[in-house]
Amino acid sequence: MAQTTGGVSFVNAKVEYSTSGSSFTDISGFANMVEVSGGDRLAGEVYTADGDIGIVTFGKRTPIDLGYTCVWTEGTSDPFERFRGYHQTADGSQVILRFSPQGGAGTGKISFTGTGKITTAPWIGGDAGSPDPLTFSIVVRTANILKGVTA
Amino acid sequence: MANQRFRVLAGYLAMGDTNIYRDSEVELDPNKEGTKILLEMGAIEKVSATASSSSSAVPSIPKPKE
Repeated sequence: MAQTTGGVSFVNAKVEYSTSGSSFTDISGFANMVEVSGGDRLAGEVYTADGDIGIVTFGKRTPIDLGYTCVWTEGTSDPFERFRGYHQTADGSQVILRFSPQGGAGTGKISFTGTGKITTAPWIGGDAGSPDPLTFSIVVRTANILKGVTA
Repeated sequence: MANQRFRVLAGYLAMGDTNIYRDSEVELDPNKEGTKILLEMGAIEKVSATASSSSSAVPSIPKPKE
């Protein structure tokens, strides 16, 4: 079989957030990394005295942790301050994260959206010996990630 | 040509800043290359050949009799 030519890296990804779903804010210029974990399907097992293999049954899909790592800046409309506010609001604000590996450019390009609340706070620390720009991370826990296409 | 109504079959359709979620309807130009691509990939399906922004599908409310 011929080798695919459709491979994509994350270097030009588009990373966004929203609180309503009707107006996403592009933070590609801040975002450094997107991490996703979870979403596995639960599976159960039991063994009987007979035979050599177990009985396996399946359950629901687990929640997904969707994480952004961004450059920490002090602006009041920059990602840190926005995410801090969403997290520290009583009960936490709904946050919608959307990212597109191909940068969202072009009809039919794929993007992913998760809706939930911040479960890992964006607080930062620092190392006086490090020359690197400070970054912060958040994690949003979502019940599901939707795959969408760009119109 | 007038826009036509399409139903979103993908998880959502990202239209600029907005997500149009699955089973919602959206008006698109059927002659645009982008619309054809979305149809081909099964992200949308045609709902009506006539509805458009200029021909409202919402029935008009009759005026009350004086």
